[in-house]
Amino acid sequence: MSDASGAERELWTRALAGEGEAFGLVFDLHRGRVLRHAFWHLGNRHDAEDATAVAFLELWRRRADVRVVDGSVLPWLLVVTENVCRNVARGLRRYRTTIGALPRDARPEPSAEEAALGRASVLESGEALLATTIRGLPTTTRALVALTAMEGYSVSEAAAAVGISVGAAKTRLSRARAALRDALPADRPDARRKERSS
Amino acid sequence: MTIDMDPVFAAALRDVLVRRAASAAPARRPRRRLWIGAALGVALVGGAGVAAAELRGLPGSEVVEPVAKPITVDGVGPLRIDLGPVPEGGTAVTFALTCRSAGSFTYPDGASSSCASFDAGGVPSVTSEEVPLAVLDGTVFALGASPQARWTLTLTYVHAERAPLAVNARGETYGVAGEGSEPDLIAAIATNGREGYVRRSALDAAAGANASTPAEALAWQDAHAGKTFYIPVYESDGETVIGTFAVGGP
Repeated sequence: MSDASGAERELWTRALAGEGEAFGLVFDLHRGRVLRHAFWHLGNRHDAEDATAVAFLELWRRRADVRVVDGSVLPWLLVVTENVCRNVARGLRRYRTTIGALPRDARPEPSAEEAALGRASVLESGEALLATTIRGLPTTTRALVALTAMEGYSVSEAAAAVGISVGAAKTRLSRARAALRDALPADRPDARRKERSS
Repeated sequence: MTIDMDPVFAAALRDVLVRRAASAAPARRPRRRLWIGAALGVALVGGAGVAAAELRGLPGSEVVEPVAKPITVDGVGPLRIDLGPVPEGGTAVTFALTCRSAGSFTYPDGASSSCASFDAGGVPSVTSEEVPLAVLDGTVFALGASPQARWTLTLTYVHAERAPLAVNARGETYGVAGEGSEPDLIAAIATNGREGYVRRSALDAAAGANASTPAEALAWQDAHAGKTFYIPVYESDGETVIGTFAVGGP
């Protein structure tokens, strides 16, 4: 892990220095995770691809401000993806021409059934409920929940990615848990147990 | 079913990202870079910044050397800027445009950029690129801009030249891959952090780049979705393995 994060840190440094292919390799490393995260929210491959493109273009545009967590830009990318997914149309505005010009395969969109299956494949059963209740949370909190509950990051890593202190992140997460608990239907004991144990 | 990106879209997006990174000045201080280059006569690697100095001398890397002092112009809306006579050795012009307000811009090579919103507190958006002299109107750099767009443009005559690829004892070329440079062994960093080269044929095979039709790309994708491939990283001799390079995967 430390080798991998060291290698990624180096790639990122080289990309910042203007080595295009290094940025391409950063894209190769993370495009799968970012796409799945976007798909999880949007349930539509076309939109998820657009959101992924915006996330990586933003990664480059805002490169001076990117927070690298444990050698990786992935947490930051996922936070941006969260925000883009909230309003894909708004996220696309800056890059409409760029993304609109990208060619696409003639492959049809997956059917609704396939989409649901695809969505399920990136979710644990408890997370499906989370997905429906997470949307009402404030932006920063939502990113914290997404990173910790969905993507498996620690609270301190998630805090670093969104740029707040660990203490503040814990407070927000604990409030979010309370809110989510209230939002969960009473007949889903599994989901409740998952929330309490985390 | 595993969700994966449309391979055609992914390849095109990757290309855009690679170009963007390769053509951008280092964040924050593009002007200073040019001055340093001019003052010291140091050859900087294409799109260079501080860390790129480590790349200097790698075969196949582009060497861009200013041959004149940068010209900086502040303006509003479109403008034609006469750069004056081309200095000896000049082959291209580098430009760095900083948005001072929202607006869209077009450049002599047909490229365009836009600043959709301007965040006064943030880092200004910088677009930078190198254009060949042939796209200028004589010695005039014609900047297209929306009427109210405010901008700062820095232009420099440069000598740009791609260092030749090197050849190892096996007869394979090696160096940095880029526009017009397709070495057999491509400079890469192994997962252990060591710098070496991956064989292009192995990289292409692992990345599914050999598909020549959408149908082939689809078949390849179905067979390889979500898998990570590891290919060896060699010394420049193409034989001594010094590490592993990971391609694809989750």
